[in-house]
Amino acid sequence: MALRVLPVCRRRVLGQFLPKVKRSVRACSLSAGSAKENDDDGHHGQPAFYDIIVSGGGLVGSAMACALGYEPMLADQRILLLEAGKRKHLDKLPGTYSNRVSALSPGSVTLLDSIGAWEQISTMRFKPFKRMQVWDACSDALITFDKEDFVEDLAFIVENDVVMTALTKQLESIKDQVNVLYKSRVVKYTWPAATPESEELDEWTSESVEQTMEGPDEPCPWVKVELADGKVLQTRLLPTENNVAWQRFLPSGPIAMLPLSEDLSSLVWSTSPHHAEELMDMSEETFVDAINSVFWSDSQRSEFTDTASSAFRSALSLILPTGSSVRQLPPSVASIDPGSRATFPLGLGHATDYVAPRLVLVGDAAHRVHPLAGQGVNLGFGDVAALRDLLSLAIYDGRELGSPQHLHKYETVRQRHNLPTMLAIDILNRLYSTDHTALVLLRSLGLQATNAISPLKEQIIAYASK
Amino acid sequence: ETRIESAQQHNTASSCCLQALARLGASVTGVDPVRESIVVAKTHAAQDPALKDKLKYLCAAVEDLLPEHSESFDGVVASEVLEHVVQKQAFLDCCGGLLKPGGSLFVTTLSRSSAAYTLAIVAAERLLQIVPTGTHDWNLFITPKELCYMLEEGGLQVQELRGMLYNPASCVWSWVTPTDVNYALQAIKHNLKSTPV
Repeated sequence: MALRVLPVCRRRVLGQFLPKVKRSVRACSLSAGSAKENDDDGHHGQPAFYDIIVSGGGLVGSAMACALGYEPMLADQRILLLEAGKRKHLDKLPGTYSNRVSALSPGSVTLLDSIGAWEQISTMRFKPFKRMQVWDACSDALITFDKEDFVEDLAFIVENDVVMTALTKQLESIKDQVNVLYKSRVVKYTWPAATPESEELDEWTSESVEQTMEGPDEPCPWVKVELADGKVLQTRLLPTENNVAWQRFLPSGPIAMLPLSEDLSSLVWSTSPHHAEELMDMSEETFVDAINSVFWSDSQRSEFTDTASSAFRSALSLILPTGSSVRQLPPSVASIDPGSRATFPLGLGHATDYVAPRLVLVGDAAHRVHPLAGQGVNLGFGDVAALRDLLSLAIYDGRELGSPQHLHKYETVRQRHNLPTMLAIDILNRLYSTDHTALVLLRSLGLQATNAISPLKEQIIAYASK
Repeated sequence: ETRIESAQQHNTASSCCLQALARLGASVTGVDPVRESIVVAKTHAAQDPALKDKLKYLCAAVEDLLPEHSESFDGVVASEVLEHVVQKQAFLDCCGGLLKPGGSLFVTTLSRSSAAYTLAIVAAERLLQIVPTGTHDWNLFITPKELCYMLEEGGLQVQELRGMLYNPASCVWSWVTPTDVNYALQAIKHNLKSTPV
């Protein structure tokens, strides 16, 4: 369960993200690898030159390196991927599921497919789901998302380790073009001078794998589980067809169950750091009871809102007869996998500039969001696809790779998509963080109305699927 | 291997065009009689090592290249040059002389029309200051028809003619149908003609 960070340490750094990144970045210097630096000598005397360097080999960084390597227009470019950790590869699938999963949108799947990673993932394991039910703890309003007639999948739940293994395999198949340096922690970036007389000729594509990009006061990486305040775990469900994702908004934060297999799901619970600690300390049986209770309990509903929303629902059904959804009952949790609880901190952040001379921010380096809409890594993969296309266009036009025109186009295109998404997620988070009657009524009626207007729902699904 | 020559005057923007052509594989020679322009263009090009052997600059007028480099270029680019040239026919004949038979001449320039006066002189120079005042002399602008006639006199056949429009808000050029203000054309050399001295 991902925890909402307490106000004192909540990183509401809209508009301040990039300066923070720059400060911490200047404090480091390159410790290994052979990328060219302005002043330092390279590893073996003469610094090596790469056309593109991707800093950070997480999900988005590896996908970026892979996408660039597979792009025919960029076939002459020498690409380097720097990863501070060691090579992440599952030699065989473990029997138990990992507690770090992502909900990949169809858009992300398209990207992974274009680099051959999706085929690798299909030989391992993933779980598609066709429907999502989202409802309120404080009222009976609900909204369901699904594609028409349940024909197409809404999204895909994949363990992060599985995606990483697929990406690692694909990177190895293009190792002539993409060089990967593991255990290479970047400790210093030296940016080119602002004037055109710069000597610096390599291209930095910087993506946050937090070990390298964040300063000492930042919360810890997504990948490491033993850091601070979030929570993720798995549950074993009563056997039903497990093809629906569930999310309930509680005033303390949303709780979601994402299908992993027929009887196993991944749980993501956002709450305050204090509550998260309590949940971590509970015994497994008490924890299971806590989960079932929040999914099933109606104790937070008020009569007033219930009456108002059912009146609204009747009114809606007069105008839009097909406007209401059948309420499915969420599954009950039977048990949890031992030792699978973990926490990680949440944050909201956005860089005002995604680009600078010869530098591009991709993925979490540019933006961090609340996981309630499952969009974090999907926004990152969207960045990768957009950057790959624009770099390819730059080569086609005979431009330099670091050409400001093309980099600015990337920034415009991605900010236009990412900012509204982040705004919507943040508004939802704030709107559902309260149990004030007026707001509960407002959001319940709003939710019901949205649920009733199919074209609007289809637009939302289409937007989130990019 | 494609050889391209560019007559470049008052125009550092076209050095980006030359760099792009060089990166795409052409062997490019940039020509400008003004020493400062050459120095700036060379400095700019020096930043990209990929251009080293493919792009060179000469401080000379187009006419000076003629006896030595006659018929040695696949393409000649005269971008935003013609509106500053007084002896246009002679200039175009020189460009034609540098071209191999079947080679292409690319010209972008401004048309001598009232629309061009309003937009290029009044708006761009005086009001919006996109270019310094006095950069252009409207009397030196040439209409597409006049240019086509001159090119045919010089043994070049106009293949393509398109209008261009600049949006100062978005800083983007786009192709448009009307050729009343800025336009671009491609002409192909189809037969040999004696070149003037």
